[in-house]
Amino acid sequence: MLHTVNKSSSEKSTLVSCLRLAADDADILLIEDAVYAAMTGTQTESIIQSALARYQIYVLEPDLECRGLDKSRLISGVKAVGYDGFVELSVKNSAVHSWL
Amino acid sequence: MTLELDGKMYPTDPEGFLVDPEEWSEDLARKMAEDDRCELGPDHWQAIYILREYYAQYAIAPPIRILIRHMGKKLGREKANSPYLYELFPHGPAKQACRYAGLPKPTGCI
Amino acid sequence: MDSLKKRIMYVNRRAPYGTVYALEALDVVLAGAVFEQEVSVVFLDDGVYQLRRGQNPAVLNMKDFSKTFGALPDFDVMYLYVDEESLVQRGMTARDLIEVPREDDTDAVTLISSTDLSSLMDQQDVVLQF
Repeated sequence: MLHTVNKSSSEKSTLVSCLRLAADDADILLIEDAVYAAMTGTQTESIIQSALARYQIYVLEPDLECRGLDKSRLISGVKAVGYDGFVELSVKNSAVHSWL
Repeated sequence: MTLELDGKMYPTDPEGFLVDPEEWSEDLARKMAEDDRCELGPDHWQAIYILREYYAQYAIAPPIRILIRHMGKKLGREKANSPYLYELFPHGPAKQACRYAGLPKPTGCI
Repeated sequence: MDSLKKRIMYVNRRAPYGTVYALEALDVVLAGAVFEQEVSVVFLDDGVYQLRRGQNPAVLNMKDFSKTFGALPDFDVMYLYVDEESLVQRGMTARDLIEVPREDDTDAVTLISSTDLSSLMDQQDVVLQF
């Protein structure tokens, strides 16, 4: 299953709940305000770090660019994808769960 | 609403402000002025370009008080007062000038 | 006259773009400027992301309203306070932030400690949070 998260992890518990409940082979895609969580140096960095052992974690590149976030400062292991990548992930997974 | 020029349609809001400031051209400004029976001279163009520059820098249309202050910095005091601007743009300086400059309507002002 | 001036503080706590709060707050600050009160704007928690340098919302067909902060000194908003603690929590420093030059070329974007922000907040007549 593909899980998308769109809320900031420093404001809402959405990302934490998603990572607690997503099955081991899930793909996680961070979009909109959730993309801040993919950056190094944040207080929630360890959440992503430990989740990388279980999941493939992606982040939507146009949402990074919009917010002035530099790909070179992504947590290593997180992959940036464009809209084409978003589509591929949606096709590859049998279902999409949009966390709101 | 739309504004037609040379067979092309440009979307505007109900008060005639361009929806997309990027679509602006001098010809569109001339067309808007013509529809108001107003002829654009060098002083009008000066104000219009100052407004476009302001929008490119700050992404808002300035209210009149701010426009006057800004023009004072750019052009000196004789061109930065409300009588001067009202003479150029009798329908309300900020509003009319912003419209000709292709900017959105400035908030809460004339 | 000065005694009639109220001290108004706008507190921004949301990231830009994902929700409409940041843009709405800016509209309120701009509209409120006509009343010529003593205004300060604070960026707290995710609000500090609003001042991040290098934003390019054109990729999402949105307006770059981070540019508009640059106009605030002309609206007599002379202080954009950034809560230092919130910056640190997000792995950011002053260098990650845009600059908002005042007429005398000093920067209106000002880092502030929790202690100073706490007492500044306490001195306000009105505090509005977004």
